[in-house]
Amino acid sequence: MNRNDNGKGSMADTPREDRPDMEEWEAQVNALLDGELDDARADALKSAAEADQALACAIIEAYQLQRLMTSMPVERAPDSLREKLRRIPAEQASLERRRAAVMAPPRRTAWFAPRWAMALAAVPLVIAVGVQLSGPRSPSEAELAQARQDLSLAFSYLAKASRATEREIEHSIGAGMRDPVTESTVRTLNEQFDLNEEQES
Amino acid sequence: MSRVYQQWVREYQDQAWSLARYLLKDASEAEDAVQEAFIKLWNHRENVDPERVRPWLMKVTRNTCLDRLRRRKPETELTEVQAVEEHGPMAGAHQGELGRWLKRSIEGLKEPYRTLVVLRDIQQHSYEEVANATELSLSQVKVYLHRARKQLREQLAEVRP
Repeated sequence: MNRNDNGKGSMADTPREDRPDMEEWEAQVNALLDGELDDARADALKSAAEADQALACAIIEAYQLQRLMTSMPVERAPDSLREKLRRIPAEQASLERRRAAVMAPPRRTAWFAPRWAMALAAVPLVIAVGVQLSGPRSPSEAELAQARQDLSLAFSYLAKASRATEREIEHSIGAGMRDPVTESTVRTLNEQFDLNEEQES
Repeated sequence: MSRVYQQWVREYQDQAWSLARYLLKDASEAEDAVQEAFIKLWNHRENVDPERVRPWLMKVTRNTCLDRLRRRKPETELTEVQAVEEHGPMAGAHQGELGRWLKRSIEGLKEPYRTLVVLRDIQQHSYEEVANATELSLSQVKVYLHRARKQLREQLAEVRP
């Protein structure tokens, strides 16, 4: 058996040809350290170590190494890292909210959509027609027919705008708020129209 | 869920940090890698088996560290090895001669030996957890760990008084 410089036998120093079953013994030493060797095999290893100094050294070295490694401390994470890890849920939630806001459809631009312009343009037209119908001058049959046609056109625009508005309001704030807004608008316009018809008759 | 996550942080932050320090040898980079791993844990918290959080976290930490090592320039590694001599995992806690030797020896091991030694022999994870964390089979873990220990034992024989 070989010896290293300090005179102690070591399995690592022993030539492989002198220890044909050393790999197997080493595997058993590992199993012994891990507590996975049954009593029979542990006894066999012990008997072999008594007869083989290299194996005995191997067992001693393995135990020394194991003791050394288990005594190595698990280093404490620095306070800066601890704080960063603690804040992750709040930061991720904030990030998620920002991401969701970016991905959401741009609702504000809906207020400038063409349907709103259409509705706004229709209102003065209705008022102008109403004023004309309620004026002191008696209109001719042709003017009345034209006015009714214009009014009908204006109301069809308003109806379209109203439907679009309903959808927009429903999408934005839900159906609960939709009806009071659109119904009151239509009711006001209808009342104005009925008043004009009464005056006309 | 946040309370469960905070519990995981308390239980595993030191182990993840220690593994990252052994693998990266650079405090700042290890801090980033561990933070990255815990962000992944938070984002996958609903899918991770609560019984296997630790191996999951160690696997993610290790993979994050290995990604960073692959992106490193060779000269950076040398500088950081010198830095770890004074401020490595053993700093302030276990400054004995053998402790310093062991730290250097473990850092000198190749992957996956280094991770196996840290997880199994230093942090005392079970073989099954180590296998999960390293994505190796149980028998591969045993064979590789056997080789790693043998290397360390041979080096120990050289420095032993």
